Amino acid sequence: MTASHEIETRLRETAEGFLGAKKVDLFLGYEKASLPFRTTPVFVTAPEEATRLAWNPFCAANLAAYLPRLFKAPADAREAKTWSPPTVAVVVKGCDARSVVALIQEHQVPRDRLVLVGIACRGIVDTRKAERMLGEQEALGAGEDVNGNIRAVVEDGTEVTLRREQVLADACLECRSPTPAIRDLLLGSPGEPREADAARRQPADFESQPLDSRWARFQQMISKCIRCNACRQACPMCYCRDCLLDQTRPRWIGAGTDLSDVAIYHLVRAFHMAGRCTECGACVRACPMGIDVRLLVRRLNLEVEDLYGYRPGEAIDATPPLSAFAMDDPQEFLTEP
Amino acid sequence: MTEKRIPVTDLDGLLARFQEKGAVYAPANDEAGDVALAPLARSAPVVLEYRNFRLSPKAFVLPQNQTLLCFKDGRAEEPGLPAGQTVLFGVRPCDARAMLALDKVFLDGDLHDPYYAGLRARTTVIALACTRPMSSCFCTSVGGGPGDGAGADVLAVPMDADLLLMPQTPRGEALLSSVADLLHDAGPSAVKEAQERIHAAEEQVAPVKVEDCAPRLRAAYNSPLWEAVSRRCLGCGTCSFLCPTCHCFDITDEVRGRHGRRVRTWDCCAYPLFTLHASGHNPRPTPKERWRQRIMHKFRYAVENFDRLFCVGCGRCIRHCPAGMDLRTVLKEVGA
Amino acid sequence: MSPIQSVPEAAPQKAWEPHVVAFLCNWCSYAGADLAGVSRIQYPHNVRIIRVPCSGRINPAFLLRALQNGADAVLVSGCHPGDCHYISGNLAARRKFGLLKNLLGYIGIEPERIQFTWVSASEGGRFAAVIEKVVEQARKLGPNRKLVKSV
Repeated sequence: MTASHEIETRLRETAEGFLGAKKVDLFLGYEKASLPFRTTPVFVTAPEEATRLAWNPFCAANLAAYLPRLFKAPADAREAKTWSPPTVAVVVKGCDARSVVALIQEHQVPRDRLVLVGIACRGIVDTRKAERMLGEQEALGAGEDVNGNIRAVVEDGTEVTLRREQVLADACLECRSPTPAIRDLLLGSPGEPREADAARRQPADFESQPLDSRWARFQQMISKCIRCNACRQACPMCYCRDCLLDQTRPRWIGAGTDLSDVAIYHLVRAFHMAGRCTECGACVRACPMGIDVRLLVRRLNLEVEDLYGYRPGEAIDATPPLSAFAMDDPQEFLTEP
Repeated sequence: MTEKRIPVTDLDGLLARFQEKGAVYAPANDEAGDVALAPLARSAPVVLEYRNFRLSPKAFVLPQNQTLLCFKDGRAEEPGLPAGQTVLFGVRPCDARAMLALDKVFLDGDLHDPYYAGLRARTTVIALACTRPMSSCFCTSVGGGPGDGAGADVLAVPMDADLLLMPQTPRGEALLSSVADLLHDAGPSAVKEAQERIHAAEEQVAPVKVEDCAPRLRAAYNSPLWEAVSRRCLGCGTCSFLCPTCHCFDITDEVRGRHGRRVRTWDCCAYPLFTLHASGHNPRPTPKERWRQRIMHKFRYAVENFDRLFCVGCGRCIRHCPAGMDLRTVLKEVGA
Repeated sequence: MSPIQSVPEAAPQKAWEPHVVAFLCNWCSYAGADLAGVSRIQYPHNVRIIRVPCSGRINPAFLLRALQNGADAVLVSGCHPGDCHYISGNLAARRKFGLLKNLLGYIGIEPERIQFTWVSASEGGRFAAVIEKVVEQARKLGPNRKLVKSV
């Protein structure tokens, strides 16, 4: 039995127990999707349905993205009168748990209505990487083997083993918090975080190039953007009912693919994520065009960490960096005549 | 219409000949290693081994952003269309068929969209039949098939060393006549072989039950199941933007001082803002209403209004949904 | 694919001069600029001043929009730390601006295109000197073409 399988069994037992004892109204987790290398979020409300829950290396979604919606009163005033916030158990990996912490800090979800079912994550497979590795063959099924590698069955019936390191999502390859820091219970044994500097490599690489090359690279990256807003919708921290970038009075950016508009969309969104993004990679996963949406926010987060000593999602009572200030904050960027 | 054939090795020459008269787009590898329709260039060799492109070719007739008119100091003028014809080679039959759905919306009916019509009139579609459908494909269940030529001007069927070229429209016939010197006649045995290959591909497409989906969906409008099936939807818009038949758009004015332009951009019914009224009321306030509308539009309203399904079974929405949603599962669960 | 068409712009009549947009906080920097004017201290005319109540009010989108609209450089100026009329607006702003400036530099926008400073109400001379510097740097950089949107 693989480690994932053990966790899955315990997860189902836990859900059945919580729902049976009416400890929670809803158990939010993952279930098998219709295509390989994927799972889909499942909202379990009955103990008999607990067997739908799955845990495997394809449990990619950041379920924290679904939480703010669950705690909003219905728009209909009559329904709102009889509504009370549910108690929700949610399966969280390390990054997801940090997103939940950030949402609690920003008063989007109440801590006392959440049961955080933490899972010690070993990294999640990037669907696109896995499918590309199979080349022209399509996978008909995929799972994890006892070594933690991914075994896929392809169309002609053969089995292909994909080494885990080669198909893990980029965010997972840089992950420093695989084990949820905040949780009500923990399934699985904590794994090793990636080396502390793993997340610095790509920005350092990018920054080492001359100014105009960086601009060219940035342009090239955003030229693929079709302004579908998937990155924003998938992000748990983008919960604003009326996004600045959709506003029409005033209209900040056009809705089309003019490179200037696309650049500003990504710059503003990244800036809004500074000190809030937990680098779960949901944006990258959601992007249909395969853009490395984390390019900007990776750098911003590292800077927030270096300048203000803050990492998002580590402590519920920490003050977010852009809501705080100190008299002696660094200011060497100032212009002096 | 006579079928023609061309050795695969002569394909580059054929496309180069088309390029003399206008732009040609053909499948090529992009930097990520995926295959996409790219401008024909020596640096981008044509690739024939692929399943389907990520982006549908609808962008060629309904661009993501399209300037409808420019205005300055009170005067307006419409920008001219790019000159010359565009030939799209390698479009899959599902995507070609989708163009017919778009034609229903933009060309037939009360309002004729000149912006769409202009681009459609100068686009020639050479479809490439599929020999290896994916597990997410279901074209055969929605009226199409891996060798269906509807919507294309020419249907190309890959054989071992040749491409069989079957004209589907007078424009396709004219296109092939213009390069007759490069083509050979295809005998009845070649045509038969092509049909067999197509039939073999059809057998591989897993069926989805959609008969009578329109009346069933009508009956299921108030089903409590809509809530359950739509809970995972993030409203990200990936499905609509990649879908070859989705066509909803927004029109905005971009103004700078005394001049500006009116632009049409893709929009998506899954966005909360899509139906937001100026009063603040939203008739589709939650993912439940929006998902229901999506399914209804494609599988019921389109049938009731246009007598055709607005889904061609390309499977992009299934492959790319970040929440792993599957249209086929939703249809089954709501009893369509 | 249909490219975006735009109305052609008229050919420039004069030699290029940098356009600088300056967001000045009402209580200190704007007053400082006013003092420069009253004292007849000359400074380059290339700056377009926008008065805001406090440097903390500035949304980074303002600066990006200014660049998009064709500004060659953007300056934000507030009260010195400790002197903010609203106590801490400038301190909140300081954190935002450092991050924004570095973010833009990261993607290849010349760092001198976005500048920040503190100017108090009594520093007319300092204001003029800052403007001199910003305009000169913008002139050396040349017209801003990155991020500009032509409509």
